[in-house]
Amino acid sequence: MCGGVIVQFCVVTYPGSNCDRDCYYVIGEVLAEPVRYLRHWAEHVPRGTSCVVLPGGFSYGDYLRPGAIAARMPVTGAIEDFAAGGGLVLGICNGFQILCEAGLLPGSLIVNDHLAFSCLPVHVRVEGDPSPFTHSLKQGEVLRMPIAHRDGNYRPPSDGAQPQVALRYCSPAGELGEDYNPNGSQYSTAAITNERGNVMGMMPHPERCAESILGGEDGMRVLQSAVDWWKEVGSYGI
Amino acid sequence: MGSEPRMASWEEAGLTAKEYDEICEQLRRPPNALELGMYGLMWSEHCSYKSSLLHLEQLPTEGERVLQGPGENAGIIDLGDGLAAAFRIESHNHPSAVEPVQGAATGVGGILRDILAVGARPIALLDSLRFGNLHDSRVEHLFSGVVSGISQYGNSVGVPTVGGEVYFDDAYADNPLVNVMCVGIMSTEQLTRGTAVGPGNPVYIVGAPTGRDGIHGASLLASRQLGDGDGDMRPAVQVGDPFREKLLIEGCLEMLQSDAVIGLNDLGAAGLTSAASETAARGGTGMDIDIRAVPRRESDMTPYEIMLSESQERMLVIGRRGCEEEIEETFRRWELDAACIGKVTNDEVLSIRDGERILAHIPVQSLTSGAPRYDRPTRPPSDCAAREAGAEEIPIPHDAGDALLQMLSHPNLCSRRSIYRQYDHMVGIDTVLTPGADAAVLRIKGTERGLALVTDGNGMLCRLDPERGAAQTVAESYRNICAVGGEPLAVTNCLNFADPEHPEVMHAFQQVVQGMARACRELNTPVTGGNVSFYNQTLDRGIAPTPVIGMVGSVDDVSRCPGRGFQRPGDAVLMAGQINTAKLAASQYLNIMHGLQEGPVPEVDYDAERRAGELCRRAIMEDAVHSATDISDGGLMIAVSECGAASDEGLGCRLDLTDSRRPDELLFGEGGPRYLLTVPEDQIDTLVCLARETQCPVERIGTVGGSEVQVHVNGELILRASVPSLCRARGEGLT
Amino acid sequence: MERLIFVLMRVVVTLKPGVQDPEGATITDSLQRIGFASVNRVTVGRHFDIEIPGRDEDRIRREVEKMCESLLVNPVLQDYHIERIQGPQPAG
Repeated sequence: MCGGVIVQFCVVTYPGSNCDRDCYYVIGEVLAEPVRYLRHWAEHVPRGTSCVVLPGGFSYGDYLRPGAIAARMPVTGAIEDFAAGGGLVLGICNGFQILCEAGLLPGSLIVNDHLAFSCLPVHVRVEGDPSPFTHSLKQGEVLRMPIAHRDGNYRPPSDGAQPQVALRYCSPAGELGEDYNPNGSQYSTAAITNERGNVMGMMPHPERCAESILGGEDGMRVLQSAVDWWKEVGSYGI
Repeated sequence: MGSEPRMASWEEAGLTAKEYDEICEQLRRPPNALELGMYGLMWSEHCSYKSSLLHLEQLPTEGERVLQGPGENAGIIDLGDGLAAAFRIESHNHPSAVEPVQGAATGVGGILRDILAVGARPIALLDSLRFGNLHDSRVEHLFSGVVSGISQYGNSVGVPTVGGEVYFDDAYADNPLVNVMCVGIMSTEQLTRGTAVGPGNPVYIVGAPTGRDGIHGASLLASRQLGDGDGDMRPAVQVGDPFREKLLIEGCLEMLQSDAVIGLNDLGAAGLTSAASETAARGGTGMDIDIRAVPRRESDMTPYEIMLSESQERMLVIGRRGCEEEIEETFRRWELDAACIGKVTNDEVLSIRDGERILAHIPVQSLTSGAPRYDRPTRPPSDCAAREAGAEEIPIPHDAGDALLQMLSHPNLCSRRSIYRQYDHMVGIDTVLTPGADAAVLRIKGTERGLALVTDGNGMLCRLDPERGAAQTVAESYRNICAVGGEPLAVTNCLNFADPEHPEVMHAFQQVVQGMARACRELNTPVTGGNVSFYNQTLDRGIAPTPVIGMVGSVDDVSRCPGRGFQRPGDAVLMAGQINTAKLAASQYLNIMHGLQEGPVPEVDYDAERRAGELCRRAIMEDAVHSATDISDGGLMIAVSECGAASDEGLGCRLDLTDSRRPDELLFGEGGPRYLLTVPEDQIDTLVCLARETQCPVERIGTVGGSEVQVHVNGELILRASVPSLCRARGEGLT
Repeated sequence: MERLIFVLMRVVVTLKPGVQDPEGATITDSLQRIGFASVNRVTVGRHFDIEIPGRDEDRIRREVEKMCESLLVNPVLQDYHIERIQGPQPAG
């Protein structure tokens, strides 16, 4: 690893975000990288930021549509500019919903096919071309992470364009199938990236499985990937 | 400003003629319409505890760890290391019967604000629910609505629902019980009281604008029985806004980091009237309020409606004079409206104004402690002789395995996964033992320590013998906390009863409090607060007396908490505690298999409870066990089945029992403290040593292994079931 | 073969006056914040479009009322009204 390279994280807090404090704790104490909060009224992402995290929760109560209102707040515009400049952006659960509503990721997340909120551990398989968030993971590798959502059913955009899938729901052995898809997402999609690969949205919560005391550390590996990538490769040029 | 509603009679205010006379005496004049309405609310059963206070005084409320006992918004215990836990349980029974989703949701909202009011960050919710029998579609509607409401509100607000219980019995068919417990954590320095002190200090209302929600909620819905004209209760039901609640939590917690705020109080039952009078009463001060300054949702609200509104998501904030700008700015950053509605005074009077015009002028103590206290007549029930079940008359089951599957698939014993899957039980990243365990365990970040939390109730036992039933309820919570390696510390309680004006109900109440008091004293778990819910009755049918206990314990090292699942083949299965006292009388087996709720309720043996609890806790903390659970409803076989179902590898066990009792009593009997432990071979000596030290009986009854549960009694195989079949049966109960 | 005749009824469900509407309040606030300062109030409802075979509008309306009373509307919190959107006319 390159010594001396700082990987500065920002965790965004919208009114109603819940997992911002969890992400802040995991990034600062477990991943042990510098982290600060970014409030919803901010108009710029602070200089020197490497990665912005949009955490899970119920921004604006999930009113209207999950993520709809947060997507229209000033900080989200700032995040759009930041992403265009090559910075890393990770949207977790509600964060993923916000990124789709804001157009930073294609498609949308609608209500789970069984119409209920589901909180349980699932398995996901690493797919597609490596991105910063899967940089240190192997293709086909199976991770165990929890989900907790009511609207996690991923639908690609209606123009037929297929998104870059980064993680798919699977069995503990890595098989795909309806039985292992907890919400009806098309093609068992659990996480996608944008074309460039610097923006990822994921429904599972990596911050909830970053410590063995809580049941597993696979989530840490996703966050660590971003750190590793930044230290080894640095930001994309244009 | 609209004109006053035509409510001038004491009857309409929910008072008796005698109470009205008492008010005139205390005021030295007759009250006007607004004052009468305020008294009606504050002197209602729900707010004044007038039928229960006399008995509640028996409860032990002090202890070296108790920082704050009953009388404030929540109880607080000292955890050491500068940390404290705040907790309380409250009921929202009547609103949930009328509108289950919003009734349950606003119940969650209310208890969250109580924890916030003492300066703690809410970190966990638990819910204790009781409904009628599920094959009634009306009951099904209530059940799914309540779960939905708790899920929606708790998940949205970002506080994990980590535990609870649900129980189905005809006794609750028309009167569901929805009791919600909240726990919060804080540094001991942050302890905030709901006290208005410092004459001249500004008083704010923060949060939602005030609407007509719940007008008459405390006096009508909670202090009266539900009758045929329920449809008219409609205007009284509130809709919750968990988004605003979340902002309120963050805004208040941030505010508390400075010393600009002196006191906080939730606006719950009886809204602004109770918040203002209670904070002033605690502070020995008075309060002057100008209702013009109260932000409102409808433009034409009357002063009466403003003072009695139970609109949700509002807090009363007593600020420090000179800090107004800081207070308003902080709340504005959290998109919350903070309106200064008055100030603290030193005349011990609650004065309500409309501009210059004084609308109400009541001595604060009169509204609060001036309420009457009743020593209501009691009478033991006519059929009170303990109906000794002729257990000898009950046929021994032909097939123990069939009986087991039937028990496991009953709604009272089956898996609750379909419920808790709808709750976000992981937000906050503190949940070490998730729903399904004997008690929830939450870690305290930055330490090795944690909190163990549980709620328990048992209406069946309390109907049979209120005093012993209440003691057994406390003991059950004690066992659950010990079963996860916790040291039980303190209790909050919700006492759910029918009409206190019926002498038999009042008799049960008195007996329950007596039983609870003794148990809490013996087990060293003082009562730090709680709530009483009377009038859980529809026409002539009242609920069984149902005290619900919420217990908090401390865990020294959360990394040692194993849960109950069988872990490794070859581990010894041990039973520790009162090994041979299980009986069928007053058991779930008798209830489920034979439709009988009969039999003497055993006395709690406190010595045995303490010894067994200590053994279990120490065995866990000294890393001598791979799994632990307490044996309770349904007896040994239910506990064994749960251990198999919770096993990651789907492990079963083989039990070899030597016993002359009838098999159903052996397998399904219930009784005193019994813990089921699985111990690796190389730790058996440690366990035996611990058993000797604690003087707690321990017996090896089998070995973990295979994917079946096999039970041999006196050398004969009497039960054999695959773990997958047990899981299937457990999975069917609530779907 | 005669084509099936149907009527399309719309049930519009709204919150009863006086019942709190947190979603509406938040949307109002958000609209104001993103530049629509002139918005006074937004309340949120939903509608069901129900297609029923037949010609007798009165009978169909009564049937839809029964649907509202038994399932679609929560009488504790909600009001509703019924509009005829289309028909009676042949399907397709």
